[in-house]
Amino acid sequence: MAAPANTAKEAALLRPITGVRPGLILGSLVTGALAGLLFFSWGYQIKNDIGVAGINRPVFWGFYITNFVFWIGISHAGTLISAILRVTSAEWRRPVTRCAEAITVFALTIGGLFPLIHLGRPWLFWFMIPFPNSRGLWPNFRSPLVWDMMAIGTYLTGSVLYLLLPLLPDMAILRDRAMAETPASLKARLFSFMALGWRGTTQQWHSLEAGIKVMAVIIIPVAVSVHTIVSWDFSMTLAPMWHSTIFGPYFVVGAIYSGIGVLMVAMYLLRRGLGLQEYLNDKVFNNLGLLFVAFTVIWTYFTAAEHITVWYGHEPSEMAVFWERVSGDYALVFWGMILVNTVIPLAVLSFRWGRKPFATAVVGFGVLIGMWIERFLIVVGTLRLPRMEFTVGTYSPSWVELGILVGSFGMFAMLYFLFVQFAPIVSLWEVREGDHIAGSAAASPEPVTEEAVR
Amino acid sequence: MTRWGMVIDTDRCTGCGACVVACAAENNIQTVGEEEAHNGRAMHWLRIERHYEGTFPDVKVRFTPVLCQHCAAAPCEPVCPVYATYRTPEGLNAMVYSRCIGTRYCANNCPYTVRVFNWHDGEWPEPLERQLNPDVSVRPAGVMEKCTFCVQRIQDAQDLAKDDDREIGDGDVQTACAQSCPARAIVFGDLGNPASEVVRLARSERSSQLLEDLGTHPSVFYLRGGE
Amino acid sequence: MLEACRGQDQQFIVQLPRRPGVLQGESVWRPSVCRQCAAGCGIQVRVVDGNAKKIEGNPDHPVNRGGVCALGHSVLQELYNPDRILDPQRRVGERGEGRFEALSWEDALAQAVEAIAATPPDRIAFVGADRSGFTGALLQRFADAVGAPGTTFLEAPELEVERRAAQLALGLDDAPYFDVARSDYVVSIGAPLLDRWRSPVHYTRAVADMRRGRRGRRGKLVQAEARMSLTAANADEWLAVRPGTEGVLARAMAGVLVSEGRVDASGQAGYGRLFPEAPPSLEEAAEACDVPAEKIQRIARELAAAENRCVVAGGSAAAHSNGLFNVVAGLGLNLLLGNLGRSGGVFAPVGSDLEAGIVPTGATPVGAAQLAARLRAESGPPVELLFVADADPLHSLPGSWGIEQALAGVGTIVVLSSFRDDTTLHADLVLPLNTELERFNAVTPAASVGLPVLGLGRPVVDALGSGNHPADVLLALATALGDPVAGRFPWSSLENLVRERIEEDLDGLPGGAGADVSDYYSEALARGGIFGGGAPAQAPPGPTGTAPGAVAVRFEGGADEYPFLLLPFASLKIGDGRGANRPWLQELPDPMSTVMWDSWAELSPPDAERLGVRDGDRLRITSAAGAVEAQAVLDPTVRPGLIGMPRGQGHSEYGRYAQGRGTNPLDLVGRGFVDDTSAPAWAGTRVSVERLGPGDLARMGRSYSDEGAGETIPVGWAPHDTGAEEDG
Ligand SMILES: Nc1nc2c(c(=O)[nH]1)N[C@H]1C(S)=C(S)[C@@H](COP(=O)(O)OP(=O)(O)OC[C@H]3O[C@@H](n4cnc5c(=O)[nH]c(N)nc54)[C@H](O)[C@@H]3O)O[C@H]1N2
Ligand SMILES: Nc1nc2c(c(=O)[nH]1)N[C@H]1C(S)=C(S)[C@@H](COP(=O)(O)OP(=O)(O)OC[C@H]3O[C@@H](n4cnc5c(=O)[nH]c(N)nc54)[C@H](O)[C@@H]3O)O[C@H]1N2
Ligand code: SF4
Ligand code: SF4
Ligand code: SF4
Ligand code: SF4
Ligand code: SF4
Ligand SMILES: [Mo]
Repeated sequence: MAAPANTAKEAALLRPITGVRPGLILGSLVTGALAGLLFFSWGYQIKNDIGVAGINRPVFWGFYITNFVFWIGISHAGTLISAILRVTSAEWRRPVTRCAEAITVFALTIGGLFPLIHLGRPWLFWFMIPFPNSRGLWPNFRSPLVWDMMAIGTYLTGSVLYLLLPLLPDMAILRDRAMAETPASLKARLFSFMALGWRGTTQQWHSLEAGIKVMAVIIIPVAVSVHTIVSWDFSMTLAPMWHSTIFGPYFVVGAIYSGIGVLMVAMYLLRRGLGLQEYLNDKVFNNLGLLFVAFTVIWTYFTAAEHITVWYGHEPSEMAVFWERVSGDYALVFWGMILVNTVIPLAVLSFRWGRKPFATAVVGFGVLIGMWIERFLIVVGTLRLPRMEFTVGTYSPSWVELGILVGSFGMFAMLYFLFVQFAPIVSLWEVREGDHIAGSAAASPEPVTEEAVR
Repeated sequence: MTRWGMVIDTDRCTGCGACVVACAAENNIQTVGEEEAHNGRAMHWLRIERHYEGTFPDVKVRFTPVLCQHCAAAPCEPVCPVYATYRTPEGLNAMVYSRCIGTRYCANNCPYTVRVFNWHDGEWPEPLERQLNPDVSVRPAGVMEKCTFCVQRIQDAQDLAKDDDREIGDGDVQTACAQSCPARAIVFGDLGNPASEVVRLARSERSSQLLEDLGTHPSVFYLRGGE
Repeated sequence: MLEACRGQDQQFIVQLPRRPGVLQGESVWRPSVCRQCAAGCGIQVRVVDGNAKKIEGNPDHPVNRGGVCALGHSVLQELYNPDRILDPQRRVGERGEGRFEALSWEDALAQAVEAIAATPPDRIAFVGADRSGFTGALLQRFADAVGAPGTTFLEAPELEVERRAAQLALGLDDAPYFDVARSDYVVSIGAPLLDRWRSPVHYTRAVADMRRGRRGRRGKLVQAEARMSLTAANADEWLAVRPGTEGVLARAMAGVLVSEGRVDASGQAGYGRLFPEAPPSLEEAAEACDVPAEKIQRIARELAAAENRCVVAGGSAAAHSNGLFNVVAGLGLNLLLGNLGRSGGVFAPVGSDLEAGIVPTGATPVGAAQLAARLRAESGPPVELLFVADADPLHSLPGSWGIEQALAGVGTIVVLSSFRDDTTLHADLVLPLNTELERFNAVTPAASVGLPVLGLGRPVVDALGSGNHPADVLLALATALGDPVAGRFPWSSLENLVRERIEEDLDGLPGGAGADVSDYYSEALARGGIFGGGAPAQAPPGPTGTAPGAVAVRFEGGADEYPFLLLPFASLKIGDGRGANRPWLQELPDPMSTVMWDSWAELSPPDAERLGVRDGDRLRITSAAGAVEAQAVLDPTVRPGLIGMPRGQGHSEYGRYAQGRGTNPLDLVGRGFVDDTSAPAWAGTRVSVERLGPGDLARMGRSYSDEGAGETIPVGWAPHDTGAEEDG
């Protein structure tokens, strides 16, 4: 079970936690300021009404819902990818899972803010929560927004558990170190709280493994359902090019695709920034790159299927949206999306040289932009062109919406900066286990001890 | 059973817009100003669509007043997470303003684009607010609204009928738009009463409905123009 | 999806729409009369706890029969307008600077009296709004009493031409009534029946009833007009004639009727006196008008074949240099067809006759052009005291007339107004008017509907300020002036005058014979007026002269320098500009352009392409008389070479909702007149167009550039599958 430590290798991981890294502090402050922009803009909006955003009639949803779908999509990086890898026992997953799972929790937290941000009266959001009350008032369980709220709530709970469970042994390692050095410090107390009394007994290891396995199996359908339900916000309606049966799987695939994209970028930055070359090595990038290109193909297939069926059916109100994308006002954006989501990934990732860290990160960054565009085109592209052609509209975001968009990236980065300084971004015990399996296949499990880490 | 409905004769309608202002006056609809109107935020519950056909000199123009169609199978209703929009037993698609949290989902799913949103609070500089209709609440920012079929006028007529101890008769209820229309293009009444004027007109061979193929079963019928 | 999800939603619903009666206090409907335009519709005002809430049409009033137009609704926003002038004011700063101080009515009247007394009578000029009705009559009497030259009325500028034409062709003193509702075929020579022309609500109802008011019998409207007005847009056929050739078209139709013998024998003789020379050939006319000969011929035949038919004329056709010819040619067709006094035809205007005798014999109104010449000290006695009652000459007369500069030379300007409009800004003394809802009204519709009508209304709400009815201000002034002027105004108030007149004429009034006068009067007040019943009956006498010869239209400005012809038009919603200070109207999309809160310039797509102009671009439009800026609206109905611009905006003052908004196309109109009249030829100015850059017009709905030409209605126009029952 637990494996011996590779002290030299782990030093790079522990340094940000044990020591003070000015770069990380500075990074937290800068991104924290950007996160502040989100809350400033939102506060401004609450004070001065939702009208300070650029949305209008007929474009009743704009950047906020785009960001919502985008961030919920990003959240599929982690839990889903790591769960799939765990369930399929892919050995190379070991250095990847933690940073992926963290992405999930942070992206979900941010994504979950957007439905609140977009409300006309956000202080009344709790009208959507079902609870027995004297007025006999319940939310409308037929509304996809109520499904959304429940699905996201479940997913957030699940993925927080899924992040915390594998964190226990590592927290114990950190606790033990901190206790040995400065037993009364805040850090020591925090780590011992987070370790939840982990002692590394055989019984605990068995429970942990079972727990992780069960969570991995449960979280996959939850994640799939979340983005399916997010897609149903659109496909349950009658709006042109929203009312589509393909949206469920299309959104799930897009979510995973953008999730891998952000994972690529994050891993590259972690590797460079924290010097984790030994963990996040070329092999990991190569393997993830293969998964990435597989999703390029699947996403492209879905996108093509979506548009070809619409074109063949040639329903006038759908065709208006279709042409707007293919050759109309949004053509540049649409073909830009195809470039960064299909052409570049295929051209780069299909080759071994393209699945190196820097190249995959660049492709991943492109896919992030492309997937944001996809959601923007779905949300705004359709709403601009309602069935009643006379009410055609336009949309351009206000500074508030831009501030909140930029702020959401800031908040994400800030959470990541903080997390790196609090927990090992690569699971210590899982890598040890992996090294152990690779090193001596016959070795018997050995509890992790303070000595072993030193 | 009462089911309120409307017939609009496009061969009578000239697109004059009197109904639009009548509706604003009756229903306390805020004016948003030039900048907001430019941003697509004018709040008319009723709009006159103008469509060109052909090119000069053989060009024709058609006007279609479009208001909430009070669909019997209203796509706006099931998507509202808090039941702020629902169907009344008399066939109105109603709004409960105090319940609305402003998701604007209903507006996206209304195929007729008739819902309007209060992006800001309305402004009635002194003494303009003295005109406000006390029967209709003024909606705050963050709340969705749309044509109510002048529900307050329906209730007024029902009250009067009740006071007189009689059934409500055909023609007792006139919506503000119908009342105002110089061309008498709009007729309002009970689609559930086979003897009513709206039923007679809705059965005309000139009758049709907007986006009929969507299966929303609107309560508004249009009589086609031309000879 | 929706059917599948339909469930028991009712069980969740606890709050229903709020019941009426929960909040309100006393709620009553009170009759009154709309004075927002000269049509004089009857209205009912809902008053709750002393506040006016809503305007609805008076179903008994023969003019509007229950309907109200958008402008009519907005009287509430005139009443409760935040920018109203509530009490008398006098200028304290420089003239035109806009600094005023309040003063009492006594002081204000004294100041006005002093000004009148101090000015040689022939150096006074009186300006009013409508010639018809008690106010117009009293104003003329007042001018006469103080010895001033004739009063100038700022009515629709083409009305003078329409009146002259009615005199020539039909022998009428005023423009006729057209019995459109009972007609089967209406040809309109330029008259914008459905726009803000003579009686918008009345004629809108008439056109609707003509088409769908009679079972199995649908009348047809054919509009011959250069620009697609709202009327042309609603016509069954639009003949997009070249501007200024409306009369040629009418003459060519006459030619068809005569040559094919489809004429009324007695009418033909009269027509021969009106037009001694032979009509133009069909081919010549087709060439001149740019309308196919077959089409002219077909429409002439259809018109003659219809049982009831009518030819209406006026509007922009009257506003060209050859406007009088155009309108006479149009009205003359009614002679040929024998439409005079015939069901669905042309009738003599009928007034209430109660004003008779108030206007002193010999007092003739003076045209706006003569007033302008006096103001500019070019001809006639110069103006030392300008007295403006409920009118805005600065905004409603062409900029080229130099009114603004001329005002600087006028010694004293007294204005009766509810708002600081463009003219009031230059006033030395402002006597505030109230709105029709705060006062007693007695209104004879300026456009007769062929029946005797006098709209009456008592105040429906308490007054917001100390303002008054213009007629009552005049009576107060007369009293303050003392004899001999006071002696000619022996009435304590307008109501006193009207009541007295009713008493005198009771037997001649509808339903008045043998009635008790106080019962009659209170019933009339409760009904909203005194209304004649039945159908119009009085036939016009027939032609009284010879039409002016067919001369080609002249435009101002060279075609090389100014390649476009400007066609200004009255905006349906804000009229001549009076409605510009009402937020409801500003935000009401124009029916054709869908523009809100602004004015615009309509341009044909081919012209726009040539100029590189895109929909919504800012343009500079220049004529020999001036230049204005406006934003482009590409409109597939516009004849290449024309530019349409709405009137009514472009106020330099007039409150927060109107000030500085849009442009006034009259600033471009030159000093040309309609031949043989003193009416401005406002449809005869050439302009050039230059693109300035992108703009930001507020519009509702699709604009032309968003769509391909020939867009159709997004409607499932499939016939409904229920039984096909004929409707009425
Ligand atoms: N002038 C005048 N005033 C009156 C009355 C009158 O006749 N005339 N009637 C009086 C009477 S009898 C009453 S009962 C009161 C009613 O007065 P209120 O009770 O104030 O009535 P509402 O504004 O309908 O609803 C109250 C609030 O409930 C919120 N709400 C909606 N759904 C939910 C939900 O699911 N949960 C929660 N917690 N809140 C929800 C709404 O947003 C709103 O803010 O008005 C009184 N005031
Ligand atoms: N559609 C709709 N239905 C509702 C509600 C809603 O908001 N909308 N609100 C619900 C609520 S919270 C309530 S409390 C009920 C209220 O329901 P009701 O009690 O029916 O309420 P009201 O219509 O305010 O008042 C009833 C009548 O009392 C009369 N009245 C006023 N003063 C007096 C008086 O001194 N003596 C007598 N005898 N009569 C008087 C009024 O003129 C009115 O006709 O309605 C409920 N139903
Ligand atoms: S027209 Fe739109 S808002 Fe009205 S009931 Fe139908 S779907 Fe709902
Ligand atoms: S905007 Fe209001 S009415 Fe519409 S769906 Fe959202 S909560 Fe319901
Ligand atoms: S029925 Fe009433 S609420 Fe609906 S458009 Fe007409 S006036 Fe407005
Ligand atoms: S008031 Fe009547 S004629 Fe005018 S736009 Fe409305 S429906 Fe048409
Ligand atoms: S037509 Fe003139 S008088 Fe009649 S309602 Fe309209 S503004 Fe008033
Ligand atoms: Mo209540």
